[in-house]
Amino acid sequence: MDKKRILLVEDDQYTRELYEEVIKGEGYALDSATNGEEGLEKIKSGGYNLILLDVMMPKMSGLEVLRAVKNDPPKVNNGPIVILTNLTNDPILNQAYGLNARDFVVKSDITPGDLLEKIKGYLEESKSKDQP
Amino acid sequence: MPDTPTAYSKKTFEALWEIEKVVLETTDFEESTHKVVNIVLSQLGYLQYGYHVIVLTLLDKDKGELRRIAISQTEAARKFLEASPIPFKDIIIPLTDRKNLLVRAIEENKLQVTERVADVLSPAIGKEWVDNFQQKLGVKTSLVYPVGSKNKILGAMIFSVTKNKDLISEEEWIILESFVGAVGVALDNALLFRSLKLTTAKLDKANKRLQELDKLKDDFVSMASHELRTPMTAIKSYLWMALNKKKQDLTPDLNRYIFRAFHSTERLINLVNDMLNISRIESGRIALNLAEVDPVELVREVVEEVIPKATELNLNVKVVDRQVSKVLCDRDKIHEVIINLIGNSLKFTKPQGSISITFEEKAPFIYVSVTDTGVGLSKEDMERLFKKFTMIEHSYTAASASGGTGLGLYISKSIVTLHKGDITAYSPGREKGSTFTLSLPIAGTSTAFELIKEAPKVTEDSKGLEKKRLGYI
Repeated sequence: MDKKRILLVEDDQYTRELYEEVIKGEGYALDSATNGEEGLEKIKSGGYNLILLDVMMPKMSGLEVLRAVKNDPPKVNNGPIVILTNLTNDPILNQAYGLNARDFVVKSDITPGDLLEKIKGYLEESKSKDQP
Repeated sequence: MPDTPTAYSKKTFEALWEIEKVVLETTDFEESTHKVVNIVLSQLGYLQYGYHVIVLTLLDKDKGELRRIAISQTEAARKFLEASPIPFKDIIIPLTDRKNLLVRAIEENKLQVTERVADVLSPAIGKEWVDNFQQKLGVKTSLVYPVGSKNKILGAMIFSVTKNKDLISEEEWIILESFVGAVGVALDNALLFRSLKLTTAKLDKANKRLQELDKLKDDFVSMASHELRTPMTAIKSYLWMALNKKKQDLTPDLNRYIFRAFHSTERLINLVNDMLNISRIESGRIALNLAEVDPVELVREVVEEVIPKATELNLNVKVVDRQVSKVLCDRDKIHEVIINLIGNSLKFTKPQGSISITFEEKAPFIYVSVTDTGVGLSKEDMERLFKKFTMIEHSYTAASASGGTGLGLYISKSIVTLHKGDITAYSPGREKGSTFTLSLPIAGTSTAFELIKEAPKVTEDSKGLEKKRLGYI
């Protein structure tokens, strides 16, 4: 079976490198982007099974990325986009659902172990959706 | 006399009634003073008795002067306004000028009568000019009454008449006095209303400013908490990595150091969440989504969530089931409150202890009590318990190890108070366990209706509560 492809868009270097290490360590194929603009470029090329998207980022926020993807969907499909943020209870998060975000995860509330479990869950969910 | 005394009295009565109406209905100061002056003239048809100009002046004690505030809308008055060398509102008489009859009427609190209009206009307008103009208008007598209410002089009123003083009838004097009395009350009310309006405007402004500040504070806390979470996430995650590295063996000491550091980041995150909650509660951004909830069911739900933690701590949690009425509450928020209460009991009860939850119905409230066999409370503890950052000294170590912030009970009580209920604490003493009782209004009671009316409504600014994570109770 092919490796699942995951895209991580996160501007904070320490957080990004840590998540990269954990996700790769679990055997996934990981691509990462350090800001929204770069993230959108990669999303456009398509083919990711899961996209983890931060909200507050320089150049282009996660919300703007979601909006751009919604308005101009990539030719090659992607799996679900999950918002990875430290904003809590913010009206922005409700907007994200309207922009087709699958879920949101508060980074400070989870451990890297929790993140891996969540990733597994999202991937299984989208797999069962693809093959009804 | 063109009229019989009876007709006269009737008109007087009507005019006084008109003034009364103005006093009751008109709230604007300027408008009401103008109306009152005009009623005296036009409603009564007083012109035919020679009353050509009526002027109301207001006493300004702070500035030590008398200012014109209203003049009758009569032909004579119009002519005067046109010809006057200074604008009506600028005709100001200093209280130090004792020759002026307005000043004297106020000082002596007594009617003053003069043949010279200049006596009421000087020194604001030159005597020569006034004498000259008086001739043109044909004013022969001016009556100056002090105007006041409840032993307090508010100003003076001038009636300028085209007849001699001797021709003013007995009844006219009585009528004039009644008018002046009514004007006094009207003026008093108008002044009170104006000051009330000014105060209200000031309070409105202050209130708006406070709301703005609250919003700024809340925005700041929200932003700061987001910024704090980023490095906290990194610290917590790297510590977790260190603790969970498979290949690397940590010495027991290192393991303990890192575990405690990891645990402290949890506590820090809880603290940030609690501060966010407090900021939201205090800035009125917590809205209640009210619904009818079975309290027993809600408690069972919470207990199911805490059972793993209780088992880990070797504590027994039981719900003393019974049928009670439904309560009106925000399910999610009360869920958090109950978690907090049971969580406290878990924290402060030694292994093998027990926690029981009981229900009592006493309209209009349902009382939910969480009783434990834990460390208990002293009398002083009970008083301080619900304040911000209270941690009871003897349990401090326990709180520190279990991620307590000292804000939980304060937040819980604030939420329950929003629901018109309360949280109380009771303990027979230290080491004797304690009982925390939460009250919530029964659905359908008048208290519940009040809650529906007064509960903070959802606005675009409202936010939810940050949730406690159970693993770290």
